[in-house]
Amino acid sequence: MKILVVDDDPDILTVAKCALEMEDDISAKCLLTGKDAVQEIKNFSPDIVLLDVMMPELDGLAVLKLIREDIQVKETPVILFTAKALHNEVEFYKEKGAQGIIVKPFDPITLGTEVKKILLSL
Amino acid sequence: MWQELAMQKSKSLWDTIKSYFKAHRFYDPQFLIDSSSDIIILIKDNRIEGFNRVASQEFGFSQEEILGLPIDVIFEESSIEKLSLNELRAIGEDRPLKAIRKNGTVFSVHLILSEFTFDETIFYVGFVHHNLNEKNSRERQEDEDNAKADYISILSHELRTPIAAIQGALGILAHSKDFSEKHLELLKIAYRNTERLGKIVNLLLDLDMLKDSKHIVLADTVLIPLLKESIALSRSSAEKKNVIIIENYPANEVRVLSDYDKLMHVCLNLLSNAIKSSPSGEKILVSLEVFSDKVRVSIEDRGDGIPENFRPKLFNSFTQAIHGDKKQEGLGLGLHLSQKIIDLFGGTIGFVPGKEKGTIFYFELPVSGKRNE
Repeated sequence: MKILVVDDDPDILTVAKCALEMEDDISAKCLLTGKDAVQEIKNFSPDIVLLDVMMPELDGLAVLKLIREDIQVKETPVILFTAKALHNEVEFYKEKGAQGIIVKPFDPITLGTEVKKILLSL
Repeated sequence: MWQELAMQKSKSLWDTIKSYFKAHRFYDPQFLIDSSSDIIILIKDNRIEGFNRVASQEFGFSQEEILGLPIDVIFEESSIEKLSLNELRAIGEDRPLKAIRKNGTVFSVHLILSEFTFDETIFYVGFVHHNLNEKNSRERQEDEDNAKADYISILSHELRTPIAAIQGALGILAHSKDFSEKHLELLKIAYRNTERLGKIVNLLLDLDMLKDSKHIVLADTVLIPLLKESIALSRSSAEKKNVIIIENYPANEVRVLSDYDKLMHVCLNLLSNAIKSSPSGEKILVSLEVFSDKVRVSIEDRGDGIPENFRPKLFNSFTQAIHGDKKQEGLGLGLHLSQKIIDLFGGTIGFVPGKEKGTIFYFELPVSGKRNE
């Protein structure tokens, strides 16, 4: 399973990659900006994208919108990373096209299974 | 009162000044003080001798009404005494004062008095600064509180990302097989304490959640799905302790007026406490009862119960029941916050000892009036 992880914090990216790849069948690619994510998603063809909400310039919601508008990649599931998932925010993110929400700080031991669980529920 | 006082007026100094200026072909002094955007008042023997256009607008008195009246008609007597204005010792100083409009409303001003001598008579010109945007002390205190709350909010949000990185990295290492038992133990200590730090930051964010409580908008909330969601979120920690959660709800939909996330916070807190208090293999019962005007949500655990000496202060901040030498993890703010939230919804929160053992925590909320029968 290929996961594209996008977060402007390089340390979070490293930890998320390590955590995800603790699952044998996951390989993760990390990107630091929303702009890179929009460009790379077509080349990498991930099974799912893990996308940070708060990023400078092109933030998570803007990237999500671009993904949903692009005919080639619009079906790619997206999970949003967020610091605090209030009920109305979760509903809002889902309305915008996110398939799931993972709250930071995430549990590195269960991150991979959590992502798989969301993917399986679709 | 001021009408009666107006009758006592004698020829004012201001009239003398105006006559003098007119006789000497100077500018009309009334025109000069009227051109100011501040309130200007001339005072002689504690009586109002001159009053400009802005003063008339602000105080609601026409010049005809006000000239010759004592200054306590437009300034609170206590303020005048406090500032020794009777002795006019406030010359040159910027003094806060309470001013009174004709309609009786009171507003805050700053008064600077200047002393003049004219025709061997001393009189005083009061420049009253009335900044319409000036905030009273309560508003200033609110601003300070908001600034502090914003600071905590920003700090908490900023701390979350580095904590997430540290906690994540340590979490992975603490599960690694590449370390000796001793080093692994140290990693676990580091992980546990980062986890604690994360919880403290979350708590600060929870406090932040109550910051805008004055502006809270209550919405119709369907209670059973909320309870089910809070139980689903608590399930993994219950499973870790081998604790079973049993649910007992009425068949009908139950609605209350609340804020979904804040009420969810209360339910999660009560469930978390119940799980922490429950011995392994025990059950927690979550039930919902509907009365004519209110609903009651109860969460019953089968733990050791609350020691009697802790009961009166359980909802105080930083309070935790200690059973023997067992201190629960956390800061002891959860119930305090829950109480504040339930208060916001016009409800009550409390606890009673369990039927056999343990404790029943409950909260009651008024029904929103939209309950489907």
